[in-house]
Amino acid sequence: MGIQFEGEFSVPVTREQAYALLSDPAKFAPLLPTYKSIEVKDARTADVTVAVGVGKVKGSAVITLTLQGEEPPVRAAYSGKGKVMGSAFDMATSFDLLPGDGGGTVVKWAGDLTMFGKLVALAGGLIRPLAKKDIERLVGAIQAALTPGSTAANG
Amino acid sequence: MSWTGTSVRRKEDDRLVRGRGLFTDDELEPGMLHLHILRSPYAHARIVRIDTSAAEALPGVACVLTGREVAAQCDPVMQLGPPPCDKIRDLPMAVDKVIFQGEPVAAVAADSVALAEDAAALIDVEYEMLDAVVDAEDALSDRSILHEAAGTNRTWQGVYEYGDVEGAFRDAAFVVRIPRMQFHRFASTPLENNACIAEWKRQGGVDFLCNNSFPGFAQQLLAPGLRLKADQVHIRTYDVGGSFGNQIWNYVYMAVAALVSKKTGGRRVKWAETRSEHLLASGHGNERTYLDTEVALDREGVITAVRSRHIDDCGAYTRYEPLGCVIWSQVLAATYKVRNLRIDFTQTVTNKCPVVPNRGYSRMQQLWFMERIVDICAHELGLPADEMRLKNYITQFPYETPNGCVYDSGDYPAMLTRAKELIGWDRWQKECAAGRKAGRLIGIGIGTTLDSGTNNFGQARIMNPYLPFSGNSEVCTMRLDLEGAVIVCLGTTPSGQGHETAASQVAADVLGIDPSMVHVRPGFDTAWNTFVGHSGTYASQFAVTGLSAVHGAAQKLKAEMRRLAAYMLEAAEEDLEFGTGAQGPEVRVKGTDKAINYWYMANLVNNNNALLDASLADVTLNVRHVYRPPFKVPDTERKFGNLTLTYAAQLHIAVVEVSRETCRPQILAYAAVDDCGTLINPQIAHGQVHGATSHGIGAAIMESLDYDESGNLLTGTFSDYCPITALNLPDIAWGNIETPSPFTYSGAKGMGEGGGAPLHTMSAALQDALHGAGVIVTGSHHPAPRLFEILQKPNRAEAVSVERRGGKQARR
Repeated sequence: MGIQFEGEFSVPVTREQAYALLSDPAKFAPLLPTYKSIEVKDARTADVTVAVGVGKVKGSAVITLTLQGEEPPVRAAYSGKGKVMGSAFDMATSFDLLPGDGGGTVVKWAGDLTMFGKLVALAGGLIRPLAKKDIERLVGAIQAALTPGSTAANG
Repeated sequence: MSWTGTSVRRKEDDRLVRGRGLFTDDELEPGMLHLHILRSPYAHARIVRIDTSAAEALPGVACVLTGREVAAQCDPVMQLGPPPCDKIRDLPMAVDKVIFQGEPVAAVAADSVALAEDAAALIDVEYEMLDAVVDAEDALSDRSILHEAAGTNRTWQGVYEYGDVEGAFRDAAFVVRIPRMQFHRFASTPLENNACIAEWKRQGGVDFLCNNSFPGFAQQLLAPGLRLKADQVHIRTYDVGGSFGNQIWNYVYMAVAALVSKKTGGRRVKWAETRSEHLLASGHGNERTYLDTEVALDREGVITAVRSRHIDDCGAYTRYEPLGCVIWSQVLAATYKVRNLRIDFTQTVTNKCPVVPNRGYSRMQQLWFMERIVDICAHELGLPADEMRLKNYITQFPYETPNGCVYDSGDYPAMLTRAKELIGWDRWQKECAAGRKAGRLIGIGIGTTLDSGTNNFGQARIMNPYLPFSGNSEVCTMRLDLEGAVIVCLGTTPSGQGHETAASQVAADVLGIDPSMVHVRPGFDTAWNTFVGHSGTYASQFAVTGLSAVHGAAQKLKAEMRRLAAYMLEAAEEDLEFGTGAQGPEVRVKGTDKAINYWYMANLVNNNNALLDASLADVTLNVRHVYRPPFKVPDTERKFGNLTLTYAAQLHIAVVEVSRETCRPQILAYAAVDDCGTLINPQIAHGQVHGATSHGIGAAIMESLDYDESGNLLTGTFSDYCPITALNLPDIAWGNIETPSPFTYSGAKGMGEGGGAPLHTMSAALQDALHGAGVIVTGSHHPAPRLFEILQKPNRAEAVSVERRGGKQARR
C-alpha cells in the first residue's frame, strides 16, 4: 500500500537556516507527530520512536531515519524504515529549498510512504486519511519551527 | 434390504454433536510447547539480518528457529514440474529472501502461545525490499523474478489442441471474441484451521498428530525433506473439521514443528494456525486469466470451436503445482460436445500466497470459462440460454472427449428439466421479463458443471513426462476382532464427509448385517492403517475408490467366513447365507437352524484353532483389499487419455436481482440438481451439495482474496474476506437424478467438490440481469462495489464482439 504526498510552503528564514534544521535528524525528528523519543546513532542516522494508533490498534513504532541524498543548502532528504505490530513501512521524504520572497525560502516537500503487512489488511482504509492528517501536522510543525517568534520555534 | 441408497444416520455425529470429537488443537498436555511463526510483512524482500537474541532471552522460550537452521537440517520439497520449475527451492521457511507476505521467517517455541507470540515480536529482521509482482501477466515479463535459480517466473507452458480448429473457424457462421475474462482468488476456509503436534523421537523419526488430508502424499514429501525414511514419519489424524483440498499441503508447517521439536530435544510442539494466518499464508485457490478467446458457431448456435490463451497464477511456490496445468483438462469442453479446441496454457508464480487444491481444483476454472462462453454467446446471438445449452450438451454416454477422457454417464437435458421444475422456470421467466420492462435488474441463469472424480495420476506426466505416477488406488482392511465385531480400516482421511457411515453401509450390504454392527475406525494412522501412495481424501473419489476398496475387502472377508462356516457346519458353501440371528450376525445353512455366529468364527481363528483343518490355514478373517481403477498411462505427446473415472454433474439455476440503489445482488430463488450416479447415502450427498453450493455462492458474491500492488493481502480477516454464512444463503431447492456409472461396482460417481456450479450460475444470472444495461460478465466475483463499477461503465463494447458471416455451415 503506497501513499504519496507533496506540497510547498514558505518560511521567513534563509535556505541555510532551513537546511540546518531539516538536515539534522536530532532537530527534525521531534517535529514528527506523535514523537516519543530519539536515539541518535550518528550525524546521519537516528532511531525515532513514535506512537501509532489506527482505530483501536495502538502501539509504538521505531523508525530508523537516515539522512540521504542531501545537497546543502538546497535539498534535505531522508529515508526511513520501521516496523509496528507485525507490519512494516518504508518512507522517503525530501525537502527542496528554493529562494523565496524577501530573503525567505520556499520549501517544496514530497513524501512516499509504503506499508506492508497485517496493519494494511486490518486498517488499510483508515491509514490514508490518518497519514494525510499526520503529514499536515508535520508540515505545520516545520513551518512553525522555521518561523521566528512562533511557539514551536521558541520552544 | 439394501443399505446402499438409504439415509443411514451419520455415525460420526454422535461424538461430534456431543463435543466428544478429537481435533488436533484439543490435544493439550503439561510440558507441551507452543509454536508461533514470525511471518514476513513484505511480499518480496531480501533478508539481510535476523537477530533472535532478545526473543531467546525471554523466560519461558524454549527455542527460536530461523530459515538458515532449517536449510541446514532440511532438504527442499520435491518439485513436480519440469525445468525450469524443478530449480525452485521450496523450504518450509524463508532463508535469504521472502517471496510472499506471510512467509515464515522464524519460529518460536515457548511455554504458551502468548509467550511465543510476544517473543516473536522481539525478533529483529532487517529486510531489503524488492519489487513485488502480483499480476500474472506482469510476472510473465520477468521484470522481477521470484526464484532466481529458475531464471523465470513461468512455471509451465503447453498447448492443448484437438480437432480441426482452423477449419472450424474458417467455416463458422459466427465468431464471438472475448478479449479478457478473469477467475478470482478465493479459498474454502475450512472450519478448522491447520494444526499439528510434532514430537521428534529420540530413537529417530517424528510423530505427528495433525489434520493433513493426504498423509500418504505428505509422508512421501516430508521423509526426504526431513532426511528420514518414510516409515520414520508417523502421521496420525482423528477428527478433521473440513479440508476441501486446502489441508493437503500443510506438511510445510508440519516440517517446521518437527524441526523445532528436534531442536528442543524431542519435546512435543503444538502449532495451531490462527484464522488470520490461514487467510494470509495457508493456501489459496488458483486465479486464472483467459485472453483472446474466440468461439466459432454454426448458424443454429452450435459451438464448433474454441481457442484461447489461459494464464494461471499459482502464487509464490509450486506446491502441488504445476499439476493444475493439466488437471483442468479433465473437463476440457465441460458438458459440451464441441470437438475442436485449442488452449494455450501458461502458469506463473507471483508474490502472493501459494495456491493449493481448493474445492473444484483447477476444473472449476475451466468449467466457469466454458459456461461463460456459452452464456455470452447465447446473449450476443439472441438465443435463450436454456436452448443454447440444449443445442450444445453432450447427450450420448459413455462419451469420449476430444482429449480422450471418457464421461461415464449423464443426462444433462433431464437435469435441466428437473431444475426448471424445481425453480418454476416459466413463472420466473415471465417475472424477469416484466421486471426488466419495469426497470428492474433481474435475471435468471443456468450453470452446468462437472465433478470429475477418481484421477488417473498418469495425467501428471502430461505436465512432466518423467514423473513416476499413474493410475489410482485405495485400500481397506477388514477383520473380525476377537469378539466377532467387523472392524474396518480405511486408507482415507475423512474431514466431515461421513466415511464411517458410508463404509459401514457398504460392508453391511455385503455381509447382510446392520451398519451398526460394522465399526469403522475413526481417523487415520500411518502406523495402524494400511495405505497406498494415493490414499487420502481429495478429488471427489471416496465413493468410487474408498468404497470399492471397502466392497472388495468385505467380499474377501465374506469368502473366508463362508469357507470357515462351511467346514464347521459341514455344509456346502452355496448352501450358506449371511444374516443376523438371535445371537447376532451369523452364517447359517439355508432352511435350517444350523448357524455359526461371528463371535465363534473369530474365536476359532484367534483362540481355538486346533479345531480347524489344515486346509483353512490361510483363513485369518483379516483381509486387505486394494482397489485399482482401470487406467492407462496417457499419451503425453498428444495430451490424450482417460484422466478421470467418473463424471458427476450438477445443474443449478438462480434468479438474481441487483438493487438499483445499492447494487447488492440478491438471490430470489435457487435450485440445485445433482447427478452422482447411484446414491450411497442421500442425506450425505444432499449435505455435500448444500456445502458446495454455499461455498460457490460465497465465492461468487462475497469472498475474494485481494492484494494491493505491493503484495499486501487486503482481505486478511473474516471481516474483509466475508465468508458466507447461513444468513447469506438462499433456500436451496434440491433435486437429483441418477445415471449410474457403468465403470463402478455400485454405479456411484464421486462427488462433493461440486465443480463450482454457483459461480457459473451466478455469473449467468447476472449476465441475464445486466445485459440490457450493456454489461458483459467477464469476472467471477460480483460483490456490490464491483457491480456498481461495472454499471457506471458498461463494458459491452470492449468486452465482446461478434463477427457474423453469411458463409457455410460450420463443421462440427
